[in-house]
Amino acid sequence: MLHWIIIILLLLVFAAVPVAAALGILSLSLDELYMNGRLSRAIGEFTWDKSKEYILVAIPMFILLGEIMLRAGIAKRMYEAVVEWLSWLPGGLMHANIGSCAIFAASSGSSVATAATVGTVAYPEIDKRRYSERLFLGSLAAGGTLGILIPPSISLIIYGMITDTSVPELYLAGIIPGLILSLLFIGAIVIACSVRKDWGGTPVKTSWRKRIRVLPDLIPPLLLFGVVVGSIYAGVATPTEAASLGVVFALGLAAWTRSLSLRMLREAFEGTMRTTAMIMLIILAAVFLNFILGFIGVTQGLLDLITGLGLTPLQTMLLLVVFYLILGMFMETLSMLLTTVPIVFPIVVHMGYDPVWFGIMITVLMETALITPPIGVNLYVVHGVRARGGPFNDVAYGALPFVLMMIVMVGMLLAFPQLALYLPTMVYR
Amino acid sequence: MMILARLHAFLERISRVAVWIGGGALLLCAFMVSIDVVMRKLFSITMSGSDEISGYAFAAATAWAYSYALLHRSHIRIDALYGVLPIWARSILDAVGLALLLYYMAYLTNKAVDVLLTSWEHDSVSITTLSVPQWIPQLLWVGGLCWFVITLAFMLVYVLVSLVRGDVTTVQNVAGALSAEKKIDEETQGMDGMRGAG
Repeated sequence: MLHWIIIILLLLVFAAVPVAAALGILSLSLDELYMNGRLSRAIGEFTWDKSKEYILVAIPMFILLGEIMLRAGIAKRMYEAVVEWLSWLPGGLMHANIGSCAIFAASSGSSVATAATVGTVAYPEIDKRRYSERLFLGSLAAGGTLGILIPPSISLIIYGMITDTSVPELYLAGIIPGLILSLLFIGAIVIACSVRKDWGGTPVKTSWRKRIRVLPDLIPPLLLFGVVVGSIYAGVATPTEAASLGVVFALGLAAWTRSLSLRMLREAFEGTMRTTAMIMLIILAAVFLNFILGFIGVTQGLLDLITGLGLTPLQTMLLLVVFYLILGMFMETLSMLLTTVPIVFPIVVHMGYDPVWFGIMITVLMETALITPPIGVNLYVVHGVRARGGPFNDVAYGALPFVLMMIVMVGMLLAFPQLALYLPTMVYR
Repeated sequence: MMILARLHAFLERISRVAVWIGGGALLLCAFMVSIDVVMRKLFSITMSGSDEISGYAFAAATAWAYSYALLHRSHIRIDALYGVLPIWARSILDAVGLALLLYYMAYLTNKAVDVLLTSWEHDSVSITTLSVPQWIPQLLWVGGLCWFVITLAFMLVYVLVSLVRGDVTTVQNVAGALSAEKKIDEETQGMDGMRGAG
């Protein structure tokens, strides 16, 4: 039965059937085959309950927050401020790319939004300072992926919902790996630009006076981070409430920078609702498939199969890592998360891994999927901001050093689970 | 053919207005929830209900946005294989994809209507302090789902008619999976405004 499920799913998905329809049709057929269609009769009630789930309201709120930030002109000034502070390193502005992405990620829940925002601001600098275009573009694509690891994160909300894991714990767990990964990226640029001096571009001239003067430009994004993430850990707000506070705060910022208008709001609504509809259609179908799979015993069957192989937990985890690295080359990340986690999660927990730790692990693997060709959404996004155009391969090659760093991060998480678990353990357990 | 193109534009216009209303409703919810949090923290006043209402607004707004996402070809399709196929094969896959999505959504919407009718007949109210009659939010939600099914059915007809006439360009334009370049346009469409402001 299991191999049929996988074959049908792959067939539908790679025939470019909308992912939600592929999952939905699979659910309905499995139910028809094994339960005489009894479970599908409840699909209305089931979908209604999930559609109004309060924790999921955080998703449109975080997207709306990003859409407003994008249009409020905060990103450009933040980038210029980070340039003053980080560009003395070999590799110059590329460090500002990583740094700005990390800061932006701390108020945005999406990798695409992070890469698009910082990418647009940073791109014109390549020519001005003669950087290696490949590495520069790669740093933007990779830096953008931090959006889903550093809280807030939409992916972690979705993971938390389908696995019943606490979202605040996941958010705390993402902070240290997010910072380490940023440092790994910075390290990769330093090494690359020390070996190949011509990649590093002309240095930026700065002074301490300039550095101090730009500090106020970092305040809006940091305040937003304080409002959104701070309110969760101060015990004041749930993730949904924190996202709502963030939306109101961002709207205030937009009013302050005089970019607030009816037209701007309408565009923000269009962007928000389009993305929300796209995400929710898949989530609802995936959650129902999850329910069907559990009922007809597929999950148990797979568990028996894997335990029957007699692999150690570490071997199983390594197998999963390889599986995700390969799948990530071909699948869009959200679909990958939603189609695999319902099946993989019970195995992982059965092997004794911590659900919060695995959430971070799979997020790093999703980040890898975002920048591995041929299907890597962040590669497309960064390719898309190149006003001058050029071969797509430039971005893909440029991202390779960062893919290596992500694999190093995966290894570190395996060797030191405390990197993810230290903060949640300290605060909650 | 003209009439189909005009209907397409009409559906897009209605869906766009639905998205503005839905987005506006969510923005209002953001304010409502924020006020709730601030009141609770600063004055220890608990106004219950903002969570329940935003859940309803979210369900209805999302359902009404499905059509908009469809007409803007934003529903995720994996184009790893699709991208290398010739245009006629892609057009056939577009039709197949639409037909399967229509089948799934029609099934789901049918059951959703049952949920609504049951709530109406039993006068179901939510088990909260608000005691919201369930048929009200459910009607808004089911309305969005029906609108999506109508849009899907129309799109399938549009694509099939174009296919029969051998007009694969139209199929690609209205129903093809978004190519990488197009996706970027949609993702970065706010950038111009940002440049102007920043």
